[in-house]
Amino acid sequence: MLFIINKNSAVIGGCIAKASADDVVLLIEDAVFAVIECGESPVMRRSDNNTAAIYALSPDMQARGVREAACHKHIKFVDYTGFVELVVNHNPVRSIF
Amino acid sequence: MKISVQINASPYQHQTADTAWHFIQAALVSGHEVYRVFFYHDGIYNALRDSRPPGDERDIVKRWSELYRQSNIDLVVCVSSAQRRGLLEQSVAKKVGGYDKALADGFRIAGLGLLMEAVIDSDRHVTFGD
Repeated sequence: MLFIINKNSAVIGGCIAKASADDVVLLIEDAVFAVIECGESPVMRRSDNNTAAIYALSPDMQARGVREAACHKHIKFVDYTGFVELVVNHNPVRSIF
Repeated sequence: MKISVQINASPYQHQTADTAWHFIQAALVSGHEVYRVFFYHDGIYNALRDSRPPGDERDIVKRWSELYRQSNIDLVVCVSSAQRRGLLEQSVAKKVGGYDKALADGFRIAGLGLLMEAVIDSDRHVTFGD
């Protein structure tokens, strides 16, 4: 399953906690703030478990001044073409607001 | 692959319409078919013909109309969401004495059946909202 999350909220942590290793979490819009490496980030806690891969939408990071160098090492980055590929390669697709 | 898109939020208030539009452009460039875009809830404001953003801003409504002209993608506005917000189909507007030119070019108004059809007939359905 592909989870798409667009807000930097507790939803991210809950989703990552429940996602399986086969799932993928894509962070878009304001959710990209969650990829910044810091102790309280749910994305950081993810590193302790073998759970879903986490992607962030690069254009939204650039629009918000979030640099790849400041992100957690487990984060993968995609542009809109990569976004489409994630949708194509995962079924179902679930957006969480 | 056949992809449908659902938009649940108004333009300008949220990033939703921009994200969806860029996603659709990338899907088309990648050779996929975008079968239908369904505008639901506040998403119906994407179809307001008289939207007039400042000249130096992107015109989201016009962008959808151009997408229809270029790619013939089915742009469907939910009828009940639209009527609740005063966006009336021409025949309904004439019947009730309402404004009958509210819908921008390329859009059509229909029921939730077309959303269900899009979900069933498409390989993927992606929802954008806020």
